[in-house]
Amino acid sequence: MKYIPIIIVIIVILLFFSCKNKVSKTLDDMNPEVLKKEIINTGSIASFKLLSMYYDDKKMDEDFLDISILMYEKYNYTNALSNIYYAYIYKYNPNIPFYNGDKEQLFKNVPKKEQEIALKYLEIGVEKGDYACIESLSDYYLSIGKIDKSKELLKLQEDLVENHKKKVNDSLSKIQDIKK
Amino acid sequence: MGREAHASEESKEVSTSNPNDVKAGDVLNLHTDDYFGALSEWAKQSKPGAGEVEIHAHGSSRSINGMRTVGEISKLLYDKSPTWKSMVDGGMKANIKLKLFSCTTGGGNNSIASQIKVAFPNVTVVAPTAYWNVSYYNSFFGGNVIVTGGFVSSPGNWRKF
Repeated sequence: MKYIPIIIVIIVILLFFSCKNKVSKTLDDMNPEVLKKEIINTGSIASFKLLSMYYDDKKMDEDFLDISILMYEKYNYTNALSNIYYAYIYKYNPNIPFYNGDKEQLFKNVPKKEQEIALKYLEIGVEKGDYACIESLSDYYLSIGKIDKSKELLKLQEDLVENHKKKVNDSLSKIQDIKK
Repeated sequence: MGREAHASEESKEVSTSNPNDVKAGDVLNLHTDDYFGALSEWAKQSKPGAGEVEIHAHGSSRSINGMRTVGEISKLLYDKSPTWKSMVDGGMKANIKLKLFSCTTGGGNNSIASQIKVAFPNVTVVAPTAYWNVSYYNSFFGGNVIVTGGFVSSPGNWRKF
């Protein structure tokens, strides 16, 4: 019987903390080092997306280039390809906040050899039909005056969009046929 | 992305449901992790009206869930939202509303929200200029997340494009 007051106090404390209003976490609450570890150890796509978004609004560090290359080369994640290009741009323009500037003009500050590597990755992305790579390579060609090549890529993107619509509509027709 | 979208402000507090309290629009909930459980719970309870599409996802001023191009976002919407698909298949004439429950997607110049508006001028895009937060508590019994409200972090606002 003598423990009843103690038990009541514990229950009240538990109720107080469980019902206490909290606020959802944001990118500010994240530790990029934890995300990097998860990406390196497991190839976590969710962590890679969070890290790339974290860098969109924060100052990027050089690790993002290695991590993006790792995500593609080891874990075969296609969306990392355009991030390799962005990471090269940042590497040679560290004082300009990520995305706060003309990507294609900033790319000109990347040494020739590394430009070639970055463009190679974009080309791989184009072959795989990655929209971000197509858009970046198209903008790059436009910036160096290769307008035909730029238009060619935009046409490729339009074709991909149309093919995608067709695929979706074909699948929906099949589902409707099965339902009948 | 030449045209600059015009901004306007709405109330920071957002109701969890539309006036009719019936889910007639589409909700794309891309929150899958426990870390953001309260945000996912908010998405589950949301009831957009007819002609309204909502995306609930992590975001930055330049991306939604890691997607940095309007093409990727539109592709996802075409797959998952009957409202969006109907708008695209109808020649992009229907006036629909796209609301982004994704942090900072309406912030700064050339935000991802403004880019969507440029590509789809018939769509009203609404996005927060700062972090999108949900207040919640954990139910004592079972530990379920109980959402009590949503708000844009100060000094941010909802921005209409």
